[in-house]
Amino acid sequence: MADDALTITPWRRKFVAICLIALPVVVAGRALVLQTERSDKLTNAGHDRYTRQFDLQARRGMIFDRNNEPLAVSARVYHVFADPGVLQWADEKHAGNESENKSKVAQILGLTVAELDNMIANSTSPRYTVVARQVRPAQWAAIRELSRAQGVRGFGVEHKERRYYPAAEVMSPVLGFTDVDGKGIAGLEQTVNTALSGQSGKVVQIAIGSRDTKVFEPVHMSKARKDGENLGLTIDLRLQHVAYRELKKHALRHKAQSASLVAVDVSTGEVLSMATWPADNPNDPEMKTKGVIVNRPALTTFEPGSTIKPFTILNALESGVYNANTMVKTSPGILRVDEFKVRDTKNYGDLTLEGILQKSSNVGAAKIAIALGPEAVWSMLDRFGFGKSSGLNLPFESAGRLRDWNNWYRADLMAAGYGYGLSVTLLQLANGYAGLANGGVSTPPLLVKGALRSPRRAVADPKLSAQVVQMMRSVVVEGGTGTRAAVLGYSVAGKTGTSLKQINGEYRTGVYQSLFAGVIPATQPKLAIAVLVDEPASGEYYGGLVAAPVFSSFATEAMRLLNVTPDLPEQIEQMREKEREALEALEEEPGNE
Amino acid sequence: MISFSRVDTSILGRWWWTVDRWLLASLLLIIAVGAILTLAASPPVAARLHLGTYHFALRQFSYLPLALTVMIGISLFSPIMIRRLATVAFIGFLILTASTLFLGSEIKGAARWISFAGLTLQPSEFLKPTFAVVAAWMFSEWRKDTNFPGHFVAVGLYVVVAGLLVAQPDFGMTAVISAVWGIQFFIAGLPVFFVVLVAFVFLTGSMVAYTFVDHVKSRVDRFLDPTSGDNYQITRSLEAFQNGGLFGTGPGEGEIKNVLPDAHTDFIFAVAGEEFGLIACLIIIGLFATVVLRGFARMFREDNLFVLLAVGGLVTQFGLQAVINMASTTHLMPTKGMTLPFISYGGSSLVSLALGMGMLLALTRRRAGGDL
Repeated sequence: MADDALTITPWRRKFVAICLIALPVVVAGRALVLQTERSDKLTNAGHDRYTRQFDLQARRGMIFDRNNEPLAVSARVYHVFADPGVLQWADEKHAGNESENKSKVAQILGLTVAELDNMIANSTSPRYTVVARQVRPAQWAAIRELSRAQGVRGFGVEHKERRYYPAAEVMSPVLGFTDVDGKGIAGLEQTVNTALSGQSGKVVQIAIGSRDTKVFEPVHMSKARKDGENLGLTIDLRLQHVAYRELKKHALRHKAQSASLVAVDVSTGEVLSMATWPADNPNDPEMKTKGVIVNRPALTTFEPGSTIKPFTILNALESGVYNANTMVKTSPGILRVDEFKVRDTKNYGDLTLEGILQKSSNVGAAKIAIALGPEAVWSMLDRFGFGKSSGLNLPFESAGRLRDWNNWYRADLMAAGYGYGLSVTLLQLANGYAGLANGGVSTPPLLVKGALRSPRRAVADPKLSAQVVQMMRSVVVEGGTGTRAAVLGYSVAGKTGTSLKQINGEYRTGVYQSLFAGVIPATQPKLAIAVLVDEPASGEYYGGLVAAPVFSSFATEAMRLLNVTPDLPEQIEQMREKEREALEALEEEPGNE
Repeated sequence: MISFSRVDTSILGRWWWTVDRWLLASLLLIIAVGAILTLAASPPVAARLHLGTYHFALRQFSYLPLALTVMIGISLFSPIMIRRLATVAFIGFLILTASTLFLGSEIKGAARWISFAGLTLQPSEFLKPTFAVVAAWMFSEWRKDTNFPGHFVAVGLYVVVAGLLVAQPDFGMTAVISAVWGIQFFIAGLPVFFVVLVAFVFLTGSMVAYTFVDHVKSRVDRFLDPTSGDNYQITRSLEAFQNGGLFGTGPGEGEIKNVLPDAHTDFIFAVAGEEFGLIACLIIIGLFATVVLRGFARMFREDNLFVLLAVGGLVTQFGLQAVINMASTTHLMPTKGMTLPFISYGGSSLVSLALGMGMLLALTRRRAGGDL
């Protein structure tokens, strides 16, 4: 028994031994390769069979106006996808209904059968192809019903949102809009996209059990969603509606290219209205490809022309060289500086500072500018925020242009005195007037409640600023250029402006921009309002004729809506008296029964 | 360390001086590594099944004393006692395995389990080592030139065992038992003609299985072309190895155990690779290789044919199972639900391996030449 092992040959043992020892060596080699090489080719193939992942889309924050009127809201919609891997048009019980069910599905989704077939056939992924976007809940419910009743299988949805803008084109230039994926791509939607978006979460589930008994369990890689913040704007939707209506009416009346208005609360810097016409409706699906939405008040720059003169006058007073009674000689109504000529519409003779504003004398403003020197003129405009970003950070917002005074020629200095050679936005102009009316305290504008902004700064003497505001009242009364800006019951201080429009750096004859900027009530300023009517083509183009009436219509309604007490109640009384007399006169006439 | 005098002739004393201490140390280390990896891999799996954090770990640890007692206890036996034990156990577990077909509990689509007294038992696990010993006995009787037709008995037993396992169905177990039995037969001197015939039948069978059995085809296809379908587990497993690198992500820092349902069983090697790195993987491979090497070293010095074949069978079974598991996990072969001996979670598997390795330790003890 002892040597029975010799009855077998040892080579067989050796063979088996070598094989069994070689195998672990191979495994060790494999481990060595796997764990020392870095490669991406092994990632993600076939995960979907064992895990599935759902994105939890965060709800986009809503946008409200200052009185909590909704301006942008999100509604639940679905992106419907097909899974060609499990697609089935009817279960066994309803075999034969396949083509009927398919046409029903296509109809629900607003597609033709051919389009549906095409999308499924051309799917780039074997398990997923989106067949319809932004499908309403009722449509998806109808498909679910088909699936219950007929066994239609292979459709799923991704939860998405669709953005609606109740105020449509009235607010669209300010708000901008979102793309199909809900990302802000214009206006405030873009500026504050991060806060509005929140953070999406995800549920990762893993399959447990065999193919037939598979159940899904969430694993710890899941993440809760964080909804976006709601935003409140300083805009008053009521004023915005009035502004849009008046801009549209007057722009059409004067056959203008566009018209814009900005209204700023004088004491807080809050933008109560920022409107422009024309604008398209962002709720219209075609708008995103073809439409025009330009927030002109913040984007478009223009030469402010005469509307800059109040700052020139304030500068004159601050210098100490001029006072309210100083007479400036403007005759003969033309001033030559180097090869440059400055003209007034007529020879106004000697004018006080108030007279320069009232008559809008270019010669007077130019003479003051030359007397003050470039540094002083530049500094005044700079302090009131011209040539600098407003801080609202709107997409493509312009800072305007105010060149460094070191590079000014004498002609530039003189032009700056009456608003040429620099460009501003309407927002800057309204904000500059607000600073003037607020006792020379410049407050950065505010559009989103609670947003951070730079501190307000006292940039001019309060008494002198108030004095300039009072001088500006003369513009709107008999003998001024802006009488049509008057508002019954309220004092208005303002300035007209009519500038030749530069197109590609050249002034074109007969192409104007009509301006009016002012504050109301002038005795205790509440609003600073700037109006621009671009390229009026009706034959009238003076700011006092084209832009001032927009100011008047808007301000009249704004005072009522904001419950501002009339500071000139006697005007209303007089008006009523006149009406009564006229009525009595009419009733006394015979034959009018 | 307990010390025994060389002149100590007590049972334990003789055991200590005759047992293969390299083999013993490797096995004990593998068991220790298994305990650590179960602690690392099983809590997320338990959490997914809504069980306590250490549900699997505690269950596994509760089997450890039993397994160690069985392994050490059986290693005290003499080869002749081993043969008797294996034969009796083989018959008993064969009957139990047969009974699973009628009263077994079905888990994951196969009836392999028997429940009694609150414990579940997979009797076919215990068939593996005992059948290897019984087959070795039969082959050795055949070679000893007696008139006893041991090889026919071995073939008959194999047909019964394989038939039962296929009926369950448990193709993995069938494959391991077939391979072990075939290798024993080969070592014992299966004529070369039959070796070629078996190789031919194996190849043909594989082709037939590939052509006609859908899940075999899909597994092979997915192995050959990873993009052809569901390769989630293996992809994750490979990522785990890459993620681990040389030194690993550190205990508890791995991801794979969170995403694979079988992280504590079939894919525990990937958990090791991810959390403990290449060095740990090489150590584990080295431990298994040491067991195999010690077994074969013994086979070349062994005079007794029964012992030689039994050691060969037990070592082959142990090594093959480990290699198949590690090769699947590292994508060297199509995935096959095979546990990593002593390391993957599973009570039956642990105790049956203890039985097998106890027998291996007993058979490899130094004896006076040729004694049983």
